[in-house]
Amino acid sequence: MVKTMKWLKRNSEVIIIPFIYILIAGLQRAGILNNYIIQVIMLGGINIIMTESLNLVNGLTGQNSIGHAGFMAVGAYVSALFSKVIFNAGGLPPTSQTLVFLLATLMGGIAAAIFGYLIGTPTLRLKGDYLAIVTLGFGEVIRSIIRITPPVGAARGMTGIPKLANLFWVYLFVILAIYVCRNFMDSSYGRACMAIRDNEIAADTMGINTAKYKIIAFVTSAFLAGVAGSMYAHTLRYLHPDVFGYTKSTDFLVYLYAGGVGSISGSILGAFTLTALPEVLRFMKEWRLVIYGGLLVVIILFRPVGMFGGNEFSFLKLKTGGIKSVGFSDLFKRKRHQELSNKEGIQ
Amino acid sequence: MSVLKADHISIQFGGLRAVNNFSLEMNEKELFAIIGPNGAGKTTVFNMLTGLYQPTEGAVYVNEKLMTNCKPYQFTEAGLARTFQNIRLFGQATVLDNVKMAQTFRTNYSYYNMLTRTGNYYEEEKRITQRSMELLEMFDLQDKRNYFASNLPYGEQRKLEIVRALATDPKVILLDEPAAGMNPNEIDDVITLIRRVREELGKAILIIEHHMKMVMSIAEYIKVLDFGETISEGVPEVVQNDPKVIEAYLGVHVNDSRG
Repeated sequence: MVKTMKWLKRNSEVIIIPFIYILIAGLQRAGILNNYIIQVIMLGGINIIMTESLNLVNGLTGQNSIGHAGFMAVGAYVSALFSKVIFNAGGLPPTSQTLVFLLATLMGGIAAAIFGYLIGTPTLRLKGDYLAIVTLGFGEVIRSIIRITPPVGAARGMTGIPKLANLFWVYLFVILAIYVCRNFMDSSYGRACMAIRDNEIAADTMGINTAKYKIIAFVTSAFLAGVAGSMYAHTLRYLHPDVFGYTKSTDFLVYLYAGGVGSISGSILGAFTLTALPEVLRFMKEWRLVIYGGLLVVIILFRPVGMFGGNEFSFLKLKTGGIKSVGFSDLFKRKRHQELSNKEGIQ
Repeated sequence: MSVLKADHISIQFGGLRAVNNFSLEMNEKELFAIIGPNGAGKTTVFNMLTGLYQPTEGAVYVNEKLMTNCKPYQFTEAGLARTFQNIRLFGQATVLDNVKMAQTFRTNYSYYNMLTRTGNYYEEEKRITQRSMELLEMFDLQDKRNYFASNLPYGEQRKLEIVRALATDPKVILLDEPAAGMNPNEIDDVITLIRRVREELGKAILIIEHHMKMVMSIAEYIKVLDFGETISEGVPEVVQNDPKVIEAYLGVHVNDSRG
């Protein structure tokens, strides 16, 4: 019994993760959270996957991808084509719908990963900011191609996508994405990427094949972005190419840097709070975006390392990266953690 | 067995021949040094030996493997490691992680095993951590394993660079000015450390150093460079008394005959 308690204390995530889901789903069932709020929560989850995905490239590997919405668009349209046009999943029984949805999500992820490989291979072999320029261009090119492609609705947008995603699936994929990123970060792959971020020449002379690891991180990231795109398509049931424009990519960058670049927990926190905030502030009408912008300025001025700094939630059990794990309660106590650790090193 | 061999290598940057016709052959456990005035091309030689530059002529062999057109990481895989004149640690990572990062190519688990944490993931991670800790303990850095590398004092950063190079398990290790910016006490520590690396771990060492006392006390064989040419080579005593070396360092004695 005591042993079980101790184990539970060390592995608190096995309770916390289902608990959060049951809480949200229960409140929904009880009618306290209406469909609108649930949709905001789902979009928050999708943005978490996107921000985690971006964190692998921008935070961990130190490369700049500034057109990540392009991969999301690829994932969204490919998966929507799959479930709507190929399988016409709207009329299928629920079990088949689930299978089609999972398959479509996988296809969306793989399609995005293929694009990631195609544009990552030539650019990531070079040192410098070429990736930023190429991804920026890629995002716009994808959007323009979709605009002139009739089978996916061209500029009118794609309608009638079956609503296959629900709170459960989004939540599950968020958890999976977090664990994929955690496992990636806490492995020789993640360490190689961090070495490249800190000093590419030194990484190269320490036996790290820099091009290979940059491409691995980028393709993994693109896959996750494709998965997020599939979630997006099957949640909103309507896709318009202009949604995946440059502003969307910038949103993810804002979530990432406001939450704390390089930190998985920071990405979760940044993506979720900044998705929810404009909705929470809706009662302020035209002032809400002023407050939103003001808050970002405050974060940049007073906490340039992001809300979460270099910290991580303890349930992630990260050993790599010089990170001190914190619980929720420590979040506000250790505000100066990063500054302090820079001075004296953490023990 | 030769662990590092440079066969008449030269490099040309536009109209400048930075290094001309440099040759070197090192066997296991040997300790060589390259000296020369500033701008003589010592670091350029290092960059050619480690793959950062491709020689325009000649060839480099690491462990008797021809390294033409290889990338620096392939040099490391072949059994060569180096440190840098201006320290290049992974500053945002901890001391322990710095050492682990250098073992990336010695870690054997697949991408799938990494993502799912199955197979030999845990064994390999444990093995790397243990090996890293052994190295850190050997050089008295174990208490600082959780410090960010950029927060270490200067002398320990240099030491960590050497430990990190050792973590790649090389046959030969190249040290670029390991004693730069150190006081006499610290230089003595570096000398002890280099001797230990060679005697306890059995590595061949090639160093570039300006500190003559140090070079003369540890090196078995010295090559002197000036303007990219090898002007003298031999055991320390020979090099010390070579008029060409004295000329390169101190200038020519001019007999002013005009009166």
